[in-house]
Amino acid sequence: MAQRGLIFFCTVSFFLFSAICYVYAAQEAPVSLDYPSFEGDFYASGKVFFPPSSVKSERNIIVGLTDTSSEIPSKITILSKWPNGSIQSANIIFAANSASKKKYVVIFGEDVLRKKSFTQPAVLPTVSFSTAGAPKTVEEIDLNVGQINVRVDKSPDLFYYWHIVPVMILIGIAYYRSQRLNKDR
Amino acid sequence: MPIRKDQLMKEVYLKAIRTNLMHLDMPRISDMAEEVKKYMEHSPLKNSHFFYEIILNSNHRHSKKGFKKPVVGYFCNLIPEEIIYAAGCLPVRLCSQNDTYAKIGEEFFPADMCPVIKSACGAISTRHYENIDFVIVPAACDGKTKLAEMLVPFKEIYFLDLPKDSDYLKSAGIWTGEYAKFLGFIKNRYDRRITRKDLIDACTLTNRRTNIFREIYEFRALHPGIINAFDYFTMTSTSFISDAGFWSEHSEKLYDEAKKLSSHNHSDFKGKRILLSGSSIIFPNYKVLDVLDELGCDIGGDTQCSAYGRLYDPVEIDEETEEGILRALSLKYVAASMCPCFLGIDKFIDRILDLIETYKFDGVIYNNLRLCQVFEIQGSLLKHVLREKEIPFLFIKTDLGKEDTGQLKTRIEAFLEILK
Amino acid sequence: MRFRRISIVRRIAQVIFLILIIYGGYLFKANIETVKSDVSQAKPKTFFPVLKAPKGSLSAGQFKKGDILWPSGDTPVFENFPPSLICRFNPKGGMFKACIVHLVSENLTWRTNIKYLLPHISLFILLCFLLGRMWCGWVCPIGSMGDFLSWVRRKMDVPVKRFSALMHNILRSSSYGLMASTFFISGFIGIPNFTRFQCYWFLPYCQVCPARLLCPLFGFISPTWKDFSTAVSTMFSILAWLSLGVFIVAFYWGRRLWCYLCPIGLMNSWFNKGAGLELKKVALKCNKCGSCSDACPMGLSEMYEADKDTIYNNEYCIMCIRCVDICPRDNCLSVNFFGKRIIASKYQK
Repeated sequence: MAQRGLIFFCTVSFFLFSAICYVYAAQEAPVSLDYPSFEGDFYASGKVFFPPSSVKSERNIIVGLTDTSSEIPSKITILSKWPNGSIQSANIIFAANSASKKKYVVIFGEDVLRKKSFTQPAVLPTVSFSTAGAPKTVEEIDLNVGQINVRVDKSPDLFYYWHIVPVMILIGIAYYRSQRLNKDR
Repeated sequence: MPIRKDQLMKEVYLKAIRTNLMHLDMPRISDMAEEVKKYMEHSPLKNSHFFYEIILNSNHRHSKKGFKKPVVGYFCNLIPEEIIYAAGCLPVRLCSQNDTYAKIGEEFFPADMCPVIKSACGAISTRHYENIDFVIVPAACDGKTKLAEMLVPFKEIYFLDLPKDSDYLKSAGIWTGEYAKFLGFIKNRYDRRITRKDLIDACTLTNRRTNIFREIYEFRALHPGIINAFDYFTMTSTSFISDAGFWSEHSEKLYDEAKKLSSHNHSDFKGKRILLSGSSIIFPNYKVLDVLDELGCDIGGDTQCSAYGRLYDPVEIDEETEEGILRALSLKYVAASMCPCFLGIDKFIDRILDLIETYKFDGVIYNNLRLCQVFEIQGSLLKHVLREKEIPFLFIKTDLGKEDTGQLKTRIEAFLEILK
Repeated sequence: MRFRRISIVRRIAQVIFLILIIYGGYLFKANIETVKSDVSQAKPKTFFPVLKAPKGSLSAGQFKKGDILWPSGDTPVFENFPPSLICRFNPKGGMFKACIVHLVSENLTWRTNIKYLLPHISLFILLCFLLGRMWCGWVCPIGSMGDFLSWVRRKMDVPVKRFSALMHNILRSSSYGLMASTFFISGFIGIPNFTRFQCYWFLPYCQVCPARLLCPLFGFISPTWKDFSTAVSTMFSILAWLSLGVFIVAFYWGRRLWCYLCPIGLMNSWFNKGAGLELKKVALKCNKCGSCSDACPMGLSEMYEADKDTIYNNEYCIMCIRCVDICPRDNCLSVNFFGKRIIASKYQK
């Protein structure tokens, strides 16, 4: 009895969480930054456009490094919004150093949570960046929405979902065989 | 004053010796030499003479004084011989079906009793077994249980208690415990260290015996008429008193000779092949074999505790710990046992049906010694089952004496008519 | 000791798979640098797409270098597809993974779209359908290490402890509880508002798995024995020690008692009843000696009790085929694959 309850619970939570992950998924846009010729710290500042219904508040936007998982402190100012209230464009400022040529990426989505706050202690030169120039592959198309190239996965879902058919067949055959075994006893 | 068991029996014995036994004309085993010579000539195999000589020669190795190893006697198929071999002793099975000894045994046991028990009691009281150190008796049937008490004044007895339900799931722990106690007893008595390696070597020795027996059994079922029934039962009776390695050597020689003989003249045996079941057949109780031989049939197979039931099942050791080896031994001896003193008639009937299906025998004869209740019940159930499956079946009830040979012959002849 | 024909093959297979699983990364020369560079150029190398953990989803925790338990946020999941491979333990050897429980709980946390997981799940189901729970008896490294412990016990002449059906049921229910709580926790910390718990509760079963503590020793790397920095990690450390203790007791005294508790085995066992590999008994030939039930490392007695011709596949059976190997009656027990007989029992001299 307890076993059956636990099985039910496992199945339900598995599908529930899979459904959640279908709904929420973070997206990212790589930053294309031309490093200046002078040495030292500087601010990188740029205007970024977001797809409709992707972010609702500035707490869902962060700037990160491509190589590690750490978040870079950044200041985000909302410039305009889509009719349904989600953010259309925002101005992003973060600190960088010209000596270490790191790669940055803007991450946004419902699951992203900004932790670090940005302090602007000194007046430094500002260099602008854009979020264009994402690499193209067969599975992607470039959607030109103003200044943003957002990577959208356009491969047909059949590429992924064809596995369901053999899985269902195998489960059905296994169930049928096990019932036949039970009859034998 | 309470009665002392050993004193009681000893007085009865001495009284019997003085009054009755002086008059009894006891044929010794050597008087049977004539009959045995007849069997020897009847047999087409030269290597079988070795076994007949062992049987005749009552001065076999173990009964000579000065035989180096201690000799341990036992009854039934339920005792682990491997433990006795590992302790450096020789196990000797004391079940006998000698009519004369049975008459001696009637001094101690009532007349209406299993003849094997009476014969065993009589045999122990003679000279031939005075070299035996102690005797192990299992709690198999009622007769054996009382035999353990009756033999107390003659030999030291070790009683092995086994539960009646031979179901592996319920009783495997109890069997292993009893065997472990027995192992401790033998270690103490002979003051020896018995290691796991000794036990495994002993199992290899008895498995060698099992291997050659299985080949001979299969050979006899498929090529009738080469190893005849007398040779076969003499061989199995000899295995009671011989060392396993010694026996295996000579059996292998006999098997090689039989194979050569069968390849020269392909079997032209035209008689019927019978499956003989029921109570055991031990030398010299060859009455049924004589009758069947006269009527021209061969006993293709059997399920008796002196032959098939004793030597066919091997020891399969799963774990090499001491407890594991004892457990494997108990599975061989007790769990697979077909003796009707335990619960498990279905095991026995399955074996008979399997043998008939594999070797295609013509009919089943169930030989029941008179006054054995459990074998009779088993035989009546078997009759019902075989009647449903339309397999010819004959139930004969006989004794150790030779008076009813004529009657037997008539009945079996009638049965053989049905087989056509 | 007599060497039985099937058991020899099985022992050799267990040793080979153990070596392959632990050191296989060297063989395929897959290490983290190669995979990282592939991912950054976004070139999928295999037919199946490469899964990637979304960035920023792990809050900044204290990650120790070389600590196998805490991958960095963009560690890609390079999947090798035989299902239920024990997860990687040898960081020097790199990526040769992933255990099915690791797969499911990691992707519940990352909330990967299910379409990326389907190939893995379908391969898992295919292999389980064909072979039943053969993974447990022939490949699993936890089982191989445990069988080694059992060998040690036999050499020391300690008798095996046979557990009752009650104990088996308790362990089975515990394994369901273990799996349910693992999936619940993994899913919970993936929900957007709760991602701050990820650094403590990530991969809950993997943190207590005994293989995490034992397999790195093969690569002469010391695993993370204790982590008393936070309350949750202290709890997990203590649970990991407990689990190692249960592992040692279960494999030393009971022969495969752990397999009742293991959640990987649980997921494999759902397919055992309908699988292609079956065990069959011809009841007429049985002499009820009980050797099959004696030899079974899981302590099952269905083969002994069955008194008509049955096709037998208990969900606990790990397909070690010791029963067929030891049975002394010819053609009584056999192993069938979709009805075709592969191996039958035979008396070996």
